[in-house]
Amino acid sequence: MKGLTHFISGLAAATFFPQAVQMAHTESSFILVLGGIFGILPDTIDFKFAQFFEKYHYVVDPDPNKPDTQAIANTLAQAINDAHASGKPKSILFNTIKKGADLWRQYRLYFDIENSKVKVTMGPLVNTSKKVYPGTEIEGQKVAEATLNCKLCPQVYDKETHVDIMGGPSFCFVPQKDGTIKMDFLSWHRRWSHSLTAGLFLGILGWLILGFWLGFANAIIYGMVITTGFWVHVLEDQLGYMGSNLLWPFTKEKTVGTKSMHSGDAMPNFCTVWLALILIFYNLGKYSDSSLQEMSFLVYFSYTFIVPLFILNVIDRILKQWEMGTKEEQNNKLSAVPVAANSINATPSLHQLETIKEVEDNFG
Amino acid sequence: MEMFGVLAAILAGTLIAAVMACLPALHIYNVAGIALLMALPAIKAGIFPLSIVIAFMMSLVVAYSVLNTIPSIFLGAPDESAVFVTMPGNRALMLSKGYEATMMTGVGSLGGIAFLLLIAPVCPIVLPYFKEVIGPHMHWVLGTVLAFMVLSEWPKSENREKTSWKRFFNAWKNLFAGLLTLILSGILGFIVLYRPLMPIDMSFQNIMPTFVGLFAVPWVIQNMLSQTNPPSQYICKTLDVDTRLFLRGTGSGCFGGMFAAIFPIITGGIGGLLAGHATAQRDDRLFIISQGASKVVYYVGGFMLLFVPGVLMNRGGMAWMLSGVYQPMGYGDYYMVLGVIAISGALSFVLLSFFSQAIIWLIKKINYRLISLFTFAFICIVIYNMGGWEALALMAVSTGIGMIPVFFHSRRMNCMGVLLIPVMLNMAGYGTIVANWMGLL
Repeated sequence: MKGLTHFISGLAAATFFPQAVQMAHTESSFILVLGGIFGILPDTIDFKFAQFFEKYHYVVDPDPNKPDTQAIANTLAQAINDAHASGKPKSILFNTIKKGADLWRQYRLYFDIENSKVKVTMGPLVNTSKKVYPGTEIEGQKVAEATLNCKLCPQVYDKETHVDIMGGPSFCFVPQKDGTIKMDFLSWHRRWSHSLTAGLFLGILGWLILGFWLGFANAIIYGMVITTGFWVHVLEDQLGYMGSNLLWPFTKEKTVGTKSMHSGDAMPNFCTVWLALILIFYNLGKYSDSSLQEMSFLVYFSYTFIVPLFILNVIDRILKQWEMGTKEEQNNKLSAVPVAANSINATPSLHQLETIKEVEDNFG
Repeated sequence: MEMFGVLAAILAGTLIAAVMACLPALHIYNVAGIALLMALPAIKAGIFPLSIVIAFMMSLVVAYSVLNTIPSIFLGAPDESAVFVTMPGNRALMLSKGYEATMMTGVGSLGGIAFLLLIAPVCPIVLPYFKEVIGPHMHWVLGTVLAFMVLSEWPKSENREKTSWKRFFNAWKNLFAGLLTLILSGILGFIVLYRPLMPIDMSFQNIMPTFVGLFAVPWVIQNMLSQTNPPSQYICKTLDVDTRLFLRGTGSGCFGGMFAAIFPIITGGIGGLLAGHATAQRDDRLFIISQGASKVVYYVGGFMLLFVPGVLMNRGGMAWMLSGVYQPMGYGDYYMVLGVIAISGALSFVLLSFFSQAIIWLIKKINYRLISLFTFAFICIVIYNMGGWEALALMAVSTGIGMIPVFFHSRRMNCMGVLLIPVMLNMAGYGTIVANWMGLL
């Protein structure tokens, strides 16, 4: 999920501690903010620290002026073959191709699991918002393939990976007992930083540090807020595709997520933020002697969450039906127009629809 | 007769604000403050009925919030609430689509106005609860916003250096710069709030040179130094926006704008930032529409809160100014204000198209860097007239801080530390302690 979603969820979790809410109310304490801070901390650890200290066996750094598509495909295949031959994990980093202050050349990596091949496609120029400039593809070889000496495990992520802006993605190829190679995307992400044990450890650490200052009995609440905020993040991430290493250091491998959503999906993010906000509001009212206490949670929840969600759903359905009708109408019109005339409508739009993938989102 | 007066006030307010919005650095609160000072004797003498004053001031806010995108996109001189539009707006400008981007913010603004009118009947029921519950918790809410601003800024490096530490430090350049900007802005905020430099008669404009220096001047300087000239602009007949995109953009903008309108010190820019994160936006169009909605809901919604019966919430500069001469009178005034918002909003949208085309004509005729130079000179003259050399010096210092994000590509919103840090600490009761440490008391 997005950073704000984790942050607000951590904050909402903190408001479930009556003592914390009362401290915020009567002592001008900032304790609830800790819930938010530790709610976003797992991603902060990975994206602001861990990624820079990862060592790679292979680094792909294409020439910005003459990117060699075949060389990229060969290096990727070599890394996988090397992992298979040596029986040891091999990692590879793909650097981006920077063409200007706000200009990058995109390239895409595709793992053909059935035919044991990797395919690289050199794409068009994009800006830092990943908006494509159509018609800017390179001259010469745009697509290259390389054959693998081994089989790849079925992927848990979308098969095609885009390399476009800022720092590029990385993979770690891990040999499996059955002779296949498992692909670990962004291997530095969601390891110990996304474990329940790390949350517990940080909570205890927070309790100890603050205990010397505030007294160990008083500091327990801080430790609980820290751990809860952290755990909420870890558990929310299990809804996606990547999963995480939940019980590090007792477990070594990442679990697979429930695949219920991509972290960049708008509706789940919005609904979670909304749910967190109404829970925060309810808890603040409940634990701060306000007139909101008189309202039952069920009534409150129905008015603030179920009814708005129902309305949103209805609007969404109406829109879908209307869009389908419009599409059909357009298709009918287009089929009546000669092909040459159709091409006028294909003038590049300023903005183009892009695929939002979990890994891309976390990476951005 | 009074109705015609109100209509005339709407027309006048909308037109004046439309012109003012196109001039960089002239914030409508400053203009309204001066106008209110001048009109005060006439108001007290009963020459101007309060309904006309209210209609005039609300129209000023509505038109300003709709049209202030123009200097952001075409002149690169945003006010704080429109600072997020500048980047995608500038991209669109360089692709000949500045007009389309401007009209997209207009569409978002219309959506924002429709949202405010839709929620108006519910406000008198919900807001008293809200005020009661959230009131004692403002300090940590501001702390939360501050913490999120710091933590949600991610490294912007290419991760290409040979050693891990080099990669780390290169990536952290923009994060360190962001932190530095936030801390320096916070220190500046303490100085400005505890030791105002503006003359007594202009004390209500105290923060203006700081805001202009932090947000507008760095963009203008960047434009002056830049070697690029925008290409000729395409005046489109339709917008590349469908219903779903409009609803998503407007929805997220209203969400952020409402947050900013209700909580003190949280501005439209911060609201827009939160809205973008809340709905996982990845499309420039969506972002631009949401920013249009966010700033309208922030400005207009904030001022509207003054009129909500039984709530008594003063949010934003305009509400503070008007509350000196006006007390909320119940549903009559409330519904009149809603009417003013609707009429002025519709007029502003039409004027947005007109003024955008006028600016496009201007940048076609005159060298863009020359326009930036004139913009800079104009800003300096306005600030000098308001507070003399002291105000210009304050603007220069603020510009120095505002330039840090420009050089290091960090988030400009960190400059909001100028208000967030001192006000948050004041609300928590630590403000005077810090001011004492700094030797300001």
